[in-house]
Amino acid sequence: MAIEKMVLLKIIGSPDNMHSMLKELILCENAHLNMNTESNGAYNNYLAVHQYESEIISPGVHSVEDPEEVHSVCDDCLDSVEELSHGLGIELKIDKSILSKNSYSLEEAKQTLSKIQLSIGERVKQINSKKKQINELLELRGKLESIPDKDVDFGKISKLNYFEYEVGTFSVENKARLKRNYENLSAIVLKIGSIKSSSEDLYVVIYPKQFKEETDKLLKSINWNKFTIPEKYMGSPSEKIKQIDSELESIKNDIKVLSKSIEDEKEDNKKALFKIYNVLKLEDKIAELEQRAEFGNSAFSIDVWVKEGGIETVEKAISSVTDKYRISVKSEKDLGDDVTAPTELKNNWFSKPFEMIVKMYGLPAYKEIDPTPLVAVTFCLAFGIMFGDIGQGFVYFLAGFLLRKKWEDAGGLAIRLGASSMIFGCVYGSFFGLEKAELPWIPGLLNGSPLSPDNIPMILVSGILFGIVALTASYILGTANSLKNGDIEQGVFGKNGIFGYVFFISFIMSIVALIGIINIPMSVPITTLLISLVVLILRQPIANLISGRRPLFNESPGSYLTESIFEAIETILSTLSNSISFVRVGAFALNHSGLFLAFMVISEMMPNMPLRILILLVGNILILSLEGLIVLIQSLRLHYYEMFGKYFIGGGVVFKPIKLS
Amino acid sequence: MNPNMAFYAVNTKIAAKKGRILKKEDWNKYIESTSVEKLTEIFKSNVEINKAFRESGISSVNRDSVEIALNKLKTVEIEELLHYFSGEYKEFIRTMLMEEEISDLSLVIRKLSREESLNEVSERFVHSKLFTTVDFDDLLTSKDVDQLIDKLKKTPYYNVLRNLTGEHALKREFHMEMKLHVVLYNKIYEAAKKLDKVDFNAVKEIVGLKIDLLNLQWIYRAIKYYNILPEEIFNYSLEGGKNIDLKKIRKLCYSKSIKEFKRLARGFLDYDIFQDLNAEKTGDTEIDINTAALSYMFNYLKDKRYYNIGAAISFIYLLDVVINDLTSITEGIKYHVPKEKLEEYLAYRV
Repeated sequence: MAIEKMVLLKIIGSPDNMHSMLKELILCENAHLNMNTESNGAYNNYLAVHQYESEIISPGVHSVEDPEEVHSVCDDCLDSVEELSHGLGIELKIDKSILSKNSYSLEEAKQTLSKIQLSIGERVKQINSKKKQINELLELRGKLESIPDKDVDFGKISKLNYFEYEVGTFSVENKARLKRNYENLSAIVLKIGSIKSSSEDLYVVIYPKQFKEETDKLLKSINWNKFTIPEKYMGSPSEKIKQIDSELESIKNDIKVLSKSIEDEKEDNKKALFKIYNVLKLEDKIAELEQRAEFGNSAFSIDVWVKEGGIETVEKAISSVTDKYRISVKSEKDLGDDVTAPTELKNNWFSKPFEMIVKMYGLPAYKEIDPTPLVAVTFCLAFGIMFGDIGQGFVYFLAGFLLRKKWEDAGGLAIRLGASSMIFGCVYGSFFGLEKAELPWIPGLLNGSPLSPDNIPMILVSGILFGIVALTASYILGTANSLKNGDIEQGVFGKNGIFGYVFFISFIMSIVALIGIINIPMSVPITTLLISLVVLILRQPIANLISGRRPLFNESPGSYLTESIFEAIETILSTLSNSISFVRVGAFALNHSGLFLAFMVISEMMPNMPLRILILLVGNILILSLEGLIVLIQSLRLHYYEMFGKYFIGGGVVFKPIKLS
Repeated sequence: MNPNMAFYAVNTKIAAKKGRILKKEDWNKYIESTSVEKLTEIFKSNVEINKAFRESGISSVNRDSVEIALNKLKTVEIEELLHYFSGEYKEFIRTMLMEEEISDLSLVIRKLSREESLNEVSERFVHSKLFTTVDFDDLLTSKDVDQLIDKLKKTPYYNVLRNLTGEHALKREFHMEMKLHVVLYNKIYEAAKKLDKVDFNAVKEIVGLKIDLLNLQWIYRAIKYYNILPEEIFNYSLEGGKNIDLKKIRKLCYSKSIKEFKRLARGFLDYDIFQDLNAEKTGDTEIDINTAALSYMFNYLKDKRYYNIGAAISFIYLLDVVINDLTSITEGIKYHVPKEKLEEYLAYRV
């Protein structure tokens, strides 16, 4: 339950083996390419390269193909493969099994491709161009359709001696502008229709021929999009549509004939194209990695991040090619602060689905503690307390179960939240909103309904208690994160560190003492409150004093103090709002029973049983959909605003193993 | 989160940042430094300005690389400010980052239209890598303007650029620039409409003023240097100004001479932004009308106090002034311009 430990591998080998080594590295799908090369000398480990050169390999002449060239060859070939597969109606997919089995080279792939091109290339090209033509004609047809008066003959306007015309569209904001300056325009602008597919208006612009250049520039300034109707279509729009329709028909027939002529070889070609596609993708990726590699006199090296547990897999893959390689392993600690290792969260079956909630906020940095386990517990508790019901919880549980196959994380989340809701349903004694009064057999720890006057204060207080516990955990996590990063100023003396927590607890204790729940003298919490506030304000000089850094203030004392006093005021306000915020947990628990009570009252007014049941059913559906959503949002809000702010650093880079896509 | 509550923190943070950036002793040291190397050292000793140098990760010291680093200051500062906002307010501040994105986009289009190599362009990029809406890595693989525009589909910029051709981008650079600005300010206003009324009014005031100044610069340049029709000038100008609405813009576009334009502008702005233009002396007007506009902006914002989103916007626009001034200083130091002369070119008078 943490963030996966990563190590940086420098893989060193002979340029002669580079191609095969990189191929295996890609196919093992365990290595994340280190992109952070600009960070000064942190990654330089030339010793390993020199050792490799002197001990394992003797200098020699190695020829490596220019990756730039391979890349452009792959690009061109992939274009033709895609064109061919489009024409043949094949969907291309990455299939690792094709690649691991064969040793088909780029050259062979190119040759096979040109053979296919030679035999069916021309016909496929024709099919594709005809398909494109169909799309263009359909678009043209749509535009012609948008002209309401289909009998206008544009041919007549085009025959005018002194005038020219254009049909097209322009953006909405320019419409108002054109209107305002209409008297200065040298053209007539008329709206002639609306295009349904793009919800744009179609305009015709008519202008004297002598103002052509002027009008062109003007149209450009309003983002004019000219609509060109090829001259071969004659007559009015309705006649043109007819001509287009018959042309569409004939093109479709042509496609049918062409497709039939290539049908016989389709299966063979399909297999070959699949293979070529996969090889090209692989070669392209290898070329990309070659560009990232560094070269010594007679060795190459590449830096990749690997999970600690994945070193063996990578080594095994590399060693399958040659034994003349060397892998130097460095942990992120050996590399200093400038280096950012990628993050991959690692959680047990219970907390795994809650990674979704954490990632929605941001990806934790490698050096921080993964908050997912904490979120899993507090989220379940918050949701359960606010939405405790055995029956409704079971509905969520079931929905999660069904959803799990299609959307694993969301399904898992619903299962856990549903279960939590059922557990708290047993505490409140609630089954689809019905309570012990209606169903005496349901389990329940409360004496009576949650809404009974004895229970209300208890539920509200338990909401706040939950808040105090959740915030305490957040402060601990925040402190641990700062200390882990060596930040004593924030970790010990900062507002989310130890003294921030002392301030928070003193604040709570002051209120407790004021109300008289616990009998302690008021002066005790007030004193610790004030001391911690002073420490919060003076955190930087204190931290510098302790760690022996000088000067005590990193900037001028005046501006530091102004800033930190204001920050202290903000801390006071946010502590207040943080604590009050958790009252909602209790309030929503009451609201849950209250909402059902309303439906209960309405149902009792109904004259017969079926209607009563109907009202209760509608009530339950509304509660399940609407209130469930609100409670989910409230839980998210509590976590994102009140808790994450205390410990979350974020800015992590996702661990993305190199693989074909 | 109640956005008003966060303004305490934002305002303090901004006040502190402003104090550090505009520290008089530092500025005196900048102007008095004797070489670009020394100037860079002094820049780096300033906590705020050093952030831009860290972000750009430059190691060599020359005028060009210093300017590249300075240009990143605004992005770095906006990214930091974003921590203090949430919800619609965060979205709004994020739209302010589009200006840098547009500047990088224009740079790529310009390079492509001039058929220059895109190899080292990414080093000059100033946009926020965290919040960009455009895949710049993909854009850099374009071979010409058409391909680039095609790659912009699904971005807010596509609609205004779709009929831009390479030749057009080369000969009429302003077309692209002004159209991209239309998108920027549309987006800013769109995001601002979701804010509270007080905040929306602050946007209308400050962003409106910026638009006024941009329009004045555009029309001034169009009349003076480019041979464009008044209708075109009008169509390219921006909407949403504070003092100069479309009606007034129209009057400015149709002014018969620069003299008439200046007279009208003076009247609309209630201030003569052309008074200090040493353009007539140096002939280097493009830079100078920009400095004059920035200087006006600076003086306007200098004494204003906002207890709403205005504080953040005015800080962001202040950074434009600062970056322009620091760039001028770097150039001045490089070419050994005397201190008194150099001060004349700055919007921020120490």
